[in-house]
Amino acid sequence: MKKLSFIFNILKRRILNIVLLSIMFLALLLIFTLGFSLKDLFYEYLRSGYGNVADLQVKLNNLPQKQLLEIKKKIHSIDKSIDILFGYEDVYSITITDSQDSTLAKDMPILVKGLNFQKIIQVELDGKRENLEIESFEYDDNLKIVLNLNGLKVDDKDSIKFLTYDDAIALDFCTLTFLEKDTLSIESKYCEDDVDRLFFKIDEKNSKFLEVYLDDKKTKLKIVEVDKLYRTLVLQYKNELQVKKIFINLENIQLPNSSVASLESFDGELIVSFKRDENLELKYKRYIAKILRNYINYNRFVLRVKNYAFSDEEEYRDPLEVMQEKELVRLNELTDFLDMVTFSNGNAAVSSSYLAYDLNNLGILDNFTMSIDGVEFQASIRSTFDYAPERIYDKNILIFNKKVLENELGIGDANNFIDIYAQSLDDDTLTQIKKMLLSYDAKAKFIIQEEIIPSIGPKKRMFNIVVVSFSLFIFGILFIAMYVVLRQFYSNFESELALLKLFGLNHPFQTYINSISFLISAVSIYFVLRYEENSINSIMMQYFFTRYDFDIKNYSISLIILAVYILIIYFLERVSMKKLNLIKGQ
Amino acid sequence: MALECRDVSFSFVDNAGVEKQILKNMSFKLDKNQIKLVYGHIGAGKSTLIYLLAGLLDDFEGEIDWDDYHFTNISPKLDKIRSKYMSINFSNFFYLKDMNVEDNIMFPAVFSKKKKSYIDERLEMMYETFSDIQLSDTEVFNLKNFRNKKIGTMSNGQREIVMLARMLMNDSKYILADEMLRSFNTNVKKQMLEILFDKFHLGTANSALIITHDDKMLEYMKEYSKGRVDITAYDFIDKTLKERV
Repeated sequence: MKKLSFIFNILKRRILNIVLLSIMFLALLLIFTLGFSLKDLFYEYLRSGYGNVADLQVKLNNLPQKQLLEIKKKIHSIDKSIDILFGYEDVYSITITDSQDSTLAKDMPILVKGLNFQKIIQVELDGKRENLEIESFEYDDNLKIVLNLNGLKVDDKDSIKFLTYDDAIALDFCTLTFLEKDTLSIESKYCEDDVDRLFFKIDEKNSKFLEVYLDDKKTKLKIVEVDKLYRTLVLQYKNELQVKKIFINLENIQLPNSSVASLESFDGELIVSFKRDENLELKYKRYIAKILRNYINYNRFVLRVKNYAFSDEEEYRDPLEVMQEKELVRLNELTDFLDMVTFSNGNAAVSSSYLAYDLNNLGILDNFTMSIDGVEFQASIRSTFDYAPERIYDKNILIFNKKVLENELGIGDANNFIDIYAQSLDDDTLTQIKKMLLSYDAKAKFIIQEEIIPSIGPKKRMFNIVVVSFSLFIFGILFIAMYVVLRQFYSNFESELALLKLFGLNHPFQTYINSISFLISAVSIYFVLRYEENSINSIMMQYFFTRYDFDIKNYSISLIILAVYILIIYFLERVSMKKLNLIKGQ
Repeated sequence: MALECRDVSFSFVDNAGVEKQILKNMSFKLDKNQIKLVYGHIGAGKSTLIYLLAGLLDDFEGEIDWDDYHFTNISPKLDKIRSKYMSINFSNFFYLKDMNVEDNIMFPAVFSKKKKSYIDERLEMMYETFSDIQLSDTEVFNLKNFRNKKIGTMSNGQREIVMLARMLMNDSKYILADEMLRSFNTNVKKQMLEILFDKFHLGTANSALIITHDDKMLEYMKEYSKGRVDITAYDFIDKTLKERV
């Protein structure tokens, strides 16, 4: 004990240094761990931008479902982290006509994939984890998922947490939970902004007048009309003076002039149109897209259009036709993806990167008929997702009748596919998987991601270079900082350390301090990341529209990097210890 | 069994880049129950001899023995075993300036893994021995009264008493003392020698190499050892030691 108190007494002047070191390690560990996760997120982001193209696609012939399950198990035994989608696929042709029976697209060969997904969402009820079946799923401007409680009773409504497997879904964006006798529903919608709240308040109070500041002058104007849909407020304004600025303040709701899209006085009325908070709307859509993509494990079909052509039946060539031709050239160069989500209400939503957008652009109205192998489907375009910046779900939505579509497509076990998604697929794993799959089907055909999207490889490599360079840069900075600290330590305390050395206490103190700081950081970061995963996810979902998954592998790599660093510092310290000189130190 | 160096040479390059030879082919042996006094002018190599024997100087030529432990260059092992063989008193003291007197006295014992009971007992002995030291006609020094005082705030004379206590704390076989008792007047010096010979049996319970500038030290030592100890004086001449006849 006395020995420890001696060491503590000598080192106590270094307390600030120890604290700073711990913080430094803490920050670095966090940067490294999150940095590695960012790499994974980036890969996912890249994939999402390309319609979920698998790292490896395998085509197989006539394999029963049972064997596919067996294959899935075997792939997981090779590498647990690999995600697998498997199912059946076939090629059909579709023809699209508008409501006047004009053919818009003729004999488009489409590849239909039926994916086997789970229909279960894990929920925590009264502290217990339960797997609940999705009873219905609705998606329009709002998202609504209804889960069947299967007779379970819920005492504490506030304890409900939505989980998938072992992770929690970070639900926000005005997510509402409805607990009913037999069902539990999650409903998300975008949050109201101040304009919505103002209109709601006017409605609620049945206000006839509104106090406003016109060019900084306070006045009270009669409300003529409130148009919620177009976010417009019409006020009586008999003054002939043009208004440049308006400020509205009603019971804590403040709408400055910057929230106004247009301000006009016309015919005794002042018409105020408010801007829409597109950022909020955009965030909401990306959030929904993320939930749809990751958490709604529902029956889904992927229809891939190979090539399609617009009809040339019409003689008359107008500017629209010229445009069509141009589009045709472009479209034929593309491999389009149609992503379809089927709903229990009998509809199926098909989202398309190009098709619906082009149909819209070419002046097609909302409703049209889609014919697939001679069977007609009524479809309507929902222009919900037509925002250019969207990456994940930048698609318009077509709605079909699900049951008819499924029946008529007659999907069976004829052709199988296995899509393999991995964070990194090294050559050894790839060879193992190929070898195993070939034992099931000698004709198995393999397509790797880079054959479909040649640009994805260079992008990944570029990102890897950035991640590695950044890590090395941070590592370098830390190394220099630590080297300076080490030099300072040995010059400030040379006499004390040399005296201790004289009496046999020759220990690498700086390495001890580093190791203690490192251990404290490692433990605290582990607990923060592990137990605050939900909070981190909420933040990630709110600002980055994606989730953070604690990955012990990434965490371990970060630990190894820092441990190597401590080891290097230790060797440098050994050199400093050897040079300790009592005579010089004093 | 002795503290011994054979054919030792040591040189260093000074700030001007000139190589300076300090010791040349020097041999020296400190046997059991001996006191050896070493005289020499400033820069003759007296302190270097102590650092060398203590295994604190690198890049020397020759051989050194600590009893049966033989070495020709320094290694971390020397740090671990040094306190088993010797106690050292440096000319410029070297102490832990942020610590108090008691900590400074006891820390060689603490790091030599001595038992707590030994440390407490020995510490008490130090307080008892270094008490009522008559520094002047009016001033009396009691080590115990300073036990909690920061050593950095003490006078040189007071500090040397602390350093003597630290040197004696481990009851070592060999004592290496550089310019021992240099801060004291003749009166205090004599009191200290009386303590060293009567209480700590200098030269009979241990062996000592004492570096000094004080011409009368040999005479004082002979007087206070009362002829019981083999005391030899040496002079540094031409980078080596010559026994004084």
